[in-house]
Amino acid sequence: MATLHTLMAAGLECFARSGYSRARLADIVAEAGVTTGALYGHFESKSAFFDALFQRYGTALTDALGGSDSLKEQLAAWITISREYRGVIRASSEILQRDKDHAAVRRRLREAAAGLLAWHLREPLTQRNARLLARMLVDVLDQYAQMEAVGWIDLRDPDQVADALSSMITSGVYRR
Amino acid sequence: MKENEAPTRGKNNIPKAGKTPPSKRGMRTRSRILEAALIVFEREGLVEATMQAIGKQAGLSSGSVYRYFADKSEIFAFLLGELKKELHDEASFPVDENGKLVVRDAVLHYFELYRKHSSLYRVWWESLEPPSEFSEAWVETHETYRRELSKAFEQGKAQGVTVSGLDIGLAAELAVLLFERPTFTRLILGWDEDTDDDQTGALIETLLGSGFGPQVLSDDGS
Repeated sequence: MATLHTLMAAGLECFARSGYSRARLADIVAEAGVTTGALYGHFESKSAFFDALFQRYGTALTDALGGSDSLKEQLAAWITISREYRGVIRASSEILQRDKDHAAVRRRLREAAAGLLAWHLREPLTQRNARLLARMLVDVLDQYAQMEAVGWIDLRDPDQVADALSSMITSGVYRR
Repeated sequence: MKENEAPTRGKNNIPKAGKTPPSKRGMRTRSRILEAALIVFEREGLVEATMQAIGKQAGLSSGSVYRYFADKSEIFAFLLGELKKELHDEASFPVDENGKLVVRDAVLHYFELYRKHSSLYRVWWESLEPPSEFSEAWVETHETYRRELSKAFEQGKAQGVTVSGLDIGLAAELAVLLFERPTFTRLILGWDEDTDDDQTGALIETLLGSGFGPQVLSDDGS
């Protein structure tokens, strides 16, 4: 179990540094300080290893969203968790378009996450519009996280981003 | 001071290696290669695409393709240069007489523009990793939009129509993402078949307008 944990941490590190295709299993085991055999004892391929990492991210994310008391808290948690899983975010963005299986997994996570966000959205939004808005928030957060993961934007305080986004939802940009 | 430097020219993506014959026939062959390359890039991805496949798609030998372009990156750089120019010229964020962004028109126009170039846009997104001149071009375009939107919000602030305490830099960043990401998920990933431009546009219009009202988050205890 200690090995598995070390491998996962090393994987996150390598994917964050190099993205998906340039991260080699050899680098990951070297980073973890274990043998290649140890990795193959747990996973049959890089893609299986990455799937496991992504699943871990998905669980952490939905747990945090489900455990938040407000939308604002959810938004801030999203950014915090995406930072912890920077490597997953970067690698996932890289393979999303070509890897149909991964796209399907990612789409399911998006629906689950949108459901959890929509739970906090009330009238006058209709249920349908709450769903659409929630998906849109997921999209914005996904890309925000991607841009942070690749280093295109500077890190901001998660609460600051959450505040800006939730005040956009209630009050927009312009006075009524 | 960088601003005082003379504007540099010639850094645009005019292929260097091309001993492009200026003849009409040469120009026709050249655009045939560009069309074929786009098809191959979209089908096989930028990484897997070869000059040979591009030649085959265009009905030419790879030797004749090399007479026009040094390699596939040069072809893609040229296509991207054209697209980037159009995106910079065309994407606009107009402000009405009250100083407010005309959101709906901007969003619909943005969708239309990207839909028109969806093949190239798809390849572009795929080229964001590993970091290269292509991902830099993407960031640059993103930055252009962010600056334009910042300017629009600044103008609103000067005319006193923005909400109090608006963090303009962050609002502009989020606004660009509202344009960009739904375009990506709907156009490139093909998700949300149950939504159309008008519905998506209407939501963005409210978020960048006056919001859905405080009761929407009434259980947030704010």
